[in-house]
Amino acid sequence: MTTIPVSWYLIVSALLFTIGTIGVLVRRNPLIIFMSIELMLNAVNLAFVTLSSYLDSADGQIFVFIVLTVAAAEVVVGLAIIVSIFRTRRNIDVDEMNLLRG
Amino acid sequence: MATGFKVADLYLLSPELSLTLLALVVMAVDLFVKRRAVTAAVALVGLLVPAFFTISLILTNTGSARHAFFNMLVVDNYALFFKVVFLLIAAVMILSSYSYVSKYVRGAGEFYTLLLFSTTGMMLMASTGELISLYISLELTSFPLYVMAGLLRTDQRSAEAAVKYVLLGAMSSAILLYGLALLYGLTGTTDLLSIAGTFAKGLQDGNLLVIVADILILAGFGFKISAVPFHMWAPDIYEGAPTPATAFFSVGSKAAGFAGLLRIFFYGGLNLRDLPQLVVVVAIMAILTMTLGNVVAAVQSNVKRMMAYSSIAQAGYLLVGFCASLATGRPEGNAAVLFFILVYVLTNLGAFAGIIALANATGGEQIEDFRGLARREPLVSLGTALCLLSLAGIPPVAGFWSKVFLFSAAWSQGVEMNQPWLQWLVIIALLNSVVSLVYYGRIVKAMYFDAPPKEDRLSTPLGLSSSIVLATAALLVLIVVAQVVLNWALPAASMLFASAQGVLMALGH
Repeated sequence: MTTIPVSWYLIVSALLFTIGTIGVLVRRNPLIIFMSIELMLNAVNLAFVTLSSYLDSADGQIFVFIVLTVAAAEVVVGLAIIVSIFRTRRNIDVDEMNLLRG
Repeated sequence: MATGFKVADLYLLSPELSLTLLALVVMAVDLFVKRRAVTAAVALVGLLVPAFFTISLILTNTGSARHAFFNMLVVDNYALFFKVVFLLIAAVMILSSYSYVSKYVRGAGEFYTLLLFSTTGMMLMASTGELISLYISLELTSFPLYVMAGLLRTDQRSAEAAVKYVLLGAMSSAILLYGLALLYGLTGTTDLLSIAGTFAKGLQDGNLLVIVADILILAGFGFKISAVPFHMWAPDIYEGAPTPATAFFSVGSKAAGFAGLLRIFFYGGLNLRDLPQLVVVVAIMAILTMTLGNVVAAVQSNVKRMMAYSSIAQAGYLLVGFCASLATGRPEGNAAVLFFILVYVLTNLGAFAGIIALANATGGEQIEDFRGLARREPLVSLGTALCLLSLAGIPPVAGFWSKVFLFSAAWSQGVEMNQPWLQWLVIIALLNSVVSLVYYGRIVKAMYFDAPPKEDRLSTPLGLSSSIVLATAALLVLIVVAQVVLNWALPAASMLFASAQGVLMALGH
């Protein structure tokens, strides 16, 4: 059985991260933007797990646990804020958020 | 260096532990006590406990770093300096936000709880010795800030600011994390001192990846300190958020960002390599940040937006000091950065307290609303004007000294280490200071030389006026004791280098 080289995993991780970044930049719905951020974080997690197994050190896997936990907390805060903006204006499209000129 | 868990180590964590407890107590008090003054008083008086522990840590400080929890926590001069700065921020913030928060914000107790949690994160950020604790403290700092931006629940602008802040903040920490992942992959460890050791020995390969990791980390922190090109969130969020929260973002997020940035770049030994590309990137970032911040601030009519761009410009000056230390490997630039941060924090808090007071009294945040305020509210106007002049760097206020120290440190290091481009950086910074006079001066002129629309006297709540008086008094005292504080900041900054050099010596270089 041949094993998949480490660099392949890292390339997949870099691709995922890029797709996530593009998603954040081009999507207009905050929920989709949040999903894209999750994709970026999962790309990071993939990189950590790969490197952890390659380097034979557990630190990377601990980091993944922490990232997962913090990301969950981040989503809680983010969704609460999105709900609160929906209550004030019945619409969550970021293009419509133009009270503050960027 | 501590290797295991000892109960005695909890003493090193005591300021943060007591601050977390205080935040929980404030939340409980807010539930059971109806009167808002009680909540604010508990928060303010309770700050004495972490302050006591911090002072005790300072008194028992021998000058060498103390480590705990497998090096996750480092208590050294640098960390203690920032702990004092963050406690100052929390105290002045509670004092100056009381009247605004009890008037406009529905969950007043939540505001103080979030403020204290965020301060805990900032204090941890200054004394982190490890990538995992760095990330956690960064997020502990940021999450409460997102919520604080949206605390005006019925105001559409506040909700919009919160959404923008949470999306951009989450994205920036993802970028930072990718940089940390690369750093971990290159060095095989998450311990900052071991990372420094690996870089000191010299990497065999992967130098391109190091640059990528550096840039990603720089970008992640660039969001927190609102450096160009990662600044676009700042003006929108500063304008939409409740004004006291804006004051907190402008000083807390920036000081914490710089605390983490210096910690990872110098204590983590990222500066131990030959890194011309990175220095060029930082220098360009500094120039863009200063110039864009100052030029755009000059054309603003809303005072809060103007202060947002002004705080971007100040981040640019700070980057000059960071860049000087990065290029020359000498601590003077960073020492000047620490002093500059202390003065900036006091000045900006004072200026914001003044803006809250005057905007509350006149009901407007445009510059024309500030016309003739010196006659209607002389004391607050004087304090605000002094703080604004200090931001511009005009003598005799402390802002003058912080700029002198920062620019002369960069200049003399440029001369000594034969890096003439550092002098050009300082010249650009000086030209920018001249531009900044235009907009700070415009508010001062409006307050002192324009005719007021009405002649009545305005009154300012006690908390606000006392925090302005405190901030201004501290600035005036800092003129006299500037050298003393700098003598404290220099070992603090050297500490970061000393640890990295200790690693070098241990390796026999």
